Amino acid sequence: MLDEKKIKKLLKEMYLISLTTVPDEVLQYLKKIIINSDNSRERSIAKIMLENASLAEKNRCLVCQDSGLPVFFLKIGETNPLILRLARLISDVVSQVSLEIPLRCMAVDPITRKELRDDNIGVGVPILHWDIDPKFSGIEIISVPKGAGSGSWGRIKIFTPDAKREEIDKFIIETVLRAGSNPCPPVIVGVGIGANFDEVPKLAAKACLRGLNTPHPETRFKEWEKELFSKINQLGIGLMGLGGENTALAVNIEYTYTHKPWLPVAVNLQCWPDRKATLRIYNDGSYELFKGARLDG
Amino acid sequence: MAEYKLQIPLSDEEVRSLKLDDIVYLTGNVITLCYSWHFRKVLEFLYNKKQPPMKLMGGVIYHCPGGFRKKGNRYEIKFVGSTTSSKFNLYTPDLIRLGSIKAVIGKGGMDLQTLRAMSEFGAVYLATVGGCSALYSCKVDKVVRVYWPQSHWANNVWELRVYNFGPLMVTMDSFGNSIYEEIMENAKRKFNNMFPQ
Repeated sequence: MLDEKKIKKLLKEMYLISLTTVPDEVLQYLKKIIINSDNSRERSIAKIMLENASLAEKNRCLVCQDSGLPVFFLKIGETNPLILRLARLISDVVSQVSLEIPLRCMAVDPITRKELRDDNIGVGVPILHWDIDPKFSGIEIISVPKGAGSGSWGRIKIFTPDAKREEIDKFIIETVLRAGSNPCPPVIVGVGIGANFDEVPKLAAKACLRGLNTPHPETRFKEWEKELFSKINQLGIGLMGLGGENTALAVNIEYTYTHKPWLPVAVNLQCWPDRKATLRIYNDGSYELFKGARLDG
Repeated sequence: MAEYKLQIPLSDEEVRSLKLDDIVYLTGNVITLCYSWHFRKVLEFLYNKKQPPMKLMGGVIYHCPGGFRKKGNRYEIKFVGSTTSSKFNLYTPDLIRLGSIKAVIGKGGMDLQTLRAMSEFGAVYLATVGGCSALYSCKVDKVVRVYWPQSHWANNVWELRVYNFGPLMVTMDSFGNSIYEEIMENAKRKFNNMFPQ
């Protein structure tokens, strides 16, 4: 069993990785554009994005100056004494990194707009999403700093159960259209369907977390994702809203069953750097620390 | 598509010669304004026909919420980057008209009113690629001055010296052309075809 000092060191490293790297699948996506696109403006932008990602990772500096609100997705496998201390350890690490780099303080009172402290800690911040998964033999923490560029453009709507598929598609695609160049496209479009008002945005966030090349295991949603992906790219918004066929990095849908009288739908947009990093601590004391996130485990 | 290395302050002639998709590298001092209150504070001087503390004529505004560390009684820059420019649509036409600024550096573009002011008074929008702090931070030399220092450095207005700062893409020129307008008009048309009323 790892001691608290070691765990804190790993958490800090995970948070730093999520701020200073871009997942490999996004880098691959950009390389493909550089090789295949016949749009010279798009190729130039993709080259700049790639160069920045490489520089940030090599020099351990921020990918984006908007280090975002600190958000963490936690998966707990079994009862583990660490659970009681994880929230505090994560707060400590966010505070430390915020003061050391230093990061801009992004956590403010929603009414006064004032920071509580210098270090991105506030009432309810860092944001922690807890999940219990009895099949998982350890603890997984994914750091997903959420910036305002893309974070400002999510939407939720409660449709009636007889809403046509076309109405829902229109809502999803319109969310990307109205965001335009603002969320730093190409974006991951995360769609949540079902559940209720409080849970459906979380489904959309989890959908974003799946990243690229992760079609839904159910054919009906896999097909729907493919169709939305094609239609969104047909809008031609492109990299940084400057045109081209690559507006969406991916479209992912997550669903749960829902209540008979309603059909909630939420859309979450994730900007092109898709910043995230994962720490897994297994019950035998071994661990994995990597940029991005994986569905296995 | 041409590439230019320009010195700040920029002349009307230089700005009027820039076309969409041109690439610019800037050397000189830029002023960072990244909150609405920054703009309101500058405009307060201009509306009252007074000179704000920073030199604006021929100048460049950068929509940059950067990172800084205090070292003694000076500041060093840790990182820069562009925030979403459309947040400042309301203030920029008057800043161009009354402050005679010649360029705005940001990301994501600005609205038609800003485009009109750029056309009338001779200014351009220079786009950085968003999410590229590491790349652009390399081109920032030092802090020249802090204006209206706040209790936390994140809220200050800064004057930064930049050297070959770029690549900056001309995405809104001084003749009423905007790549964003063209792309979004096209996107709306495609959307309306997908979902006819």
